[in-house]
Amino acid sequence: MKLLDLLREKEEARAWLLSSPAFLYEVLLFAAPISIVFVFAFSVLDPLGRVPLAFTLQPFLDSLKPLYLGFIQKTMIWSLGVTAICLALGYPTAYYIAVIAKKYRTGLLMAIIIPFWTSFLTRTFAMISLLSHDGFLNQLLLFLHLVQEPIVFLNNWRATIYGLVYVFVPMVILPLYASLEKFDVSLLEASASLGAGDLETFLRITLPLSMPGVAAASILVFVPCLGAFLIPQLLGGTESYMVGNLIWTMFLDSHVYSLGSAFSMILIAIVMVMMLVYLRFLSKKGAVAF
Amino acid sequence: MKNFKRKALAVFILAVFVYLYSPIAFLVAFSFNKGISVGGRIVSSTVTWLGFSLEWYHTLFAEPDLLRAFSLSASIALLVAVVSGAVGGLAAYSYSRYRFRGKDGFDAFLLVPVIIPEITHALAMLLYFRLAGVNYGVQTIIMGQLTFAIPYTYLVMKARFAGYDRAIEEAAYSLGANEVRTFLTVTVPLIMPGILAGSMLAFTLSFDNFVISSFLSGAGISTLPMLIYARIRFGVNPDINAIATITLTMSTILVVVSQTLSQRGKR
Repeated sequence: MKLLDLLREKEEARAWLLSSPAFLYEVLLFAAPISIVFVFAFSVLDPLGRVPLAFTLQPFLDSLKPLYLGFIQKTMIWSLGVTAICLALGYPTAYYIAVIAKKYRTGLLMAIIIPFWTSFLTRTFAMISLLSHDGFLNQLLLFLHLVQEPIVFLNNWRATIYGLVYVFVPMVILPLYASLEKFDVSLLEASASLGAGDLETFLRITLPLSMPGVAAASILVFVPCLGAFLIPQLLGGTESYMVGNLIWTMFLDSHVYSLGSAFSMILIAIVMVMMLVYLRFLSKKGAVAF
Repeated sequence: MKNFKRKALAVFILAVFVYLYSPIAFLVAFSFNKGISVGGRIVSSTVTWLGFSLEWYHTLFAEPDLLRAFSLSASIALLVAVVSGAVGGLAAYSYSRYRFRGKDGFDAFLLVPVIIPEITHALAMLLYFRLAGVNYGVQTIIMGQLTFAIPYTYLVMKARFAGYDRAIEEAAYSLGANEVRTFLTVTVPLIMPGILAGSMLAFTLSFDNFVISSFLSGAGISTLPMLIYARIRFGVNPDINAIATITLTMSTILVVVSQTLSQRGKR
C-alpha cells in the first residue's frame, strides 16, 4: 500500500518504475557483457580464456604492431571514403526528391525506403549474383561485346566499397531528405536575384541550411561502416578484411580473447568519440536530425 | 541552361535508382527462371533465361529446414516486437511525460547499444553467456536481440511521443476519470501509432538479424538469415532467389502499409 501511495504522489517514482525494465535489462545484458570485454582487454587470461589472472597492458601494446595499425588505418580510410561517396550520391538524390520532384515525393521516398528495409543478406546475395564471374553484369558486357573476358568484380577491395556504398546509400538519403524538405525555395531566387551564381548559392545557402542532415547522414554511415564485417567477408574476400573481420578472427578462429577484446575496445572508443563529436555539433546547432 | 542542369540531375538520379535496384531486379527476375537438369540435378541458370516458371517456389515448400527457419525467425521477431514494444514503450513514455533525476543519463545510456558495432556487441554477449554457463539456443537469440531492439523502439517512440500534450490527460481527470480509465481511454489511443511504428521496426530488425543470432544460437538452430548466409557461403542454391523475392515482397508491403499509415496520421 505504501508503494502505491508513493507512486500516486511522486512523479519521479512513477518515472523510475516505468523506465526500470528497459534500464535493468540493458544493464544486465548489455553493460555487463561489455564490461567483461573491457576487463578482458586488460587481463592475462587462463589457458581456457575464462578467468582473468593478472592485469596487463600487453594486448594494447600488441595492437600497436604495424600489421594491426594497418587494419585500423584501412578501416578508417575506407569508412571515410564510403561516407563521402554515399553523400555524393545521396545529396543530389535527396535534393531532387525534396525540392524538385515534389509531386512524386511519396513514391520516390518509398522507392528509397524499400531497399533499406529489405533484408541485409538478401541485398548482399543480390549483389553477389549481379557481380559474380558468370553473373548478370558480365553476361551483359559479353553480350554487348564490351569485353572479351568476364571481369573479376568480386573478392577485391572495390567489391567491398561497392557493397558498403550500396547498403548505406538509403541511410544518407533519408536524413538529408528530412532536412531539405523544409527548405524554402524562394531563398534560391533571392540569392540569384542578388547576383549569386548556382555554385555560390549552393555553397552559401543550400549546403549550410542542410548541414544538420549532412552531419546525421555522415554519422549514420561512418559509424556502422567502422564495424562492418559481413560485406568485406562475403563480397571482398580476405584481401579486404576490415577491423570487424579481424575481431571475428581473433575470437572465433585464433581464440586470442585478450587481443580481440582490446580491439573491440579500440573500435568502441573510436565510435564513441565520433558520436560525442556529433552530439557536440548538434547541441551547438540546436537541431535534432535523427 | 537551367533546363539542361535539371535534366542532368534527373539522369543522375535515374543512375542512382538503377544502382539501387539492378541487383534486386535481377534477383527477382531469375527467381522465375526455368531450371535445367545437370547430371540428374535440377539447377537454375543465373546466366541464361530459359523461360518463366514457378518451380523454385514449389521446391521451397518441399524444404522442411527452410520452412522451419522461416517460422522460427517469424516467431522470434513477433516476440521481440511485443516485448521491446512494451518495455521500450514504457521507457519512452516515461521520458516524454515526466521529469526525473538522471533523465539525460538514462537517455544517453539507451543510445549506446544502438551505435556500438554489432560484432563487438555479439562477441561480448557470447563471452558473457559462456562465463555464466547459459545454454545457447532460441532463448539466447531472443535475449541478444532484445538488447538492441529495446533501445531502437525506445528511440522511435520517444520521437513519436515528443509532441505529447499532457493537458489532455488532465482534462480527462477533471472530467472525473480515474488514472486507469484515463490511461486506457486517453493515453493508450494517443500513443498507439508510436508503439506500432516502434514494434514494426523491432520486428524487421529481429527478422533480419544475422550477427547476434548466429553468435548466440548454439548448434542445430537456424534462423532464416543464418540459412541464407550458409547458402551464400557454401554453394548457392538457386531457390535462394525465390526466398529473397518473398522476403522482398514482405518488406515492400510493410513499407507501403507503414508509409500510408503515417501519412494518414499526419492529416
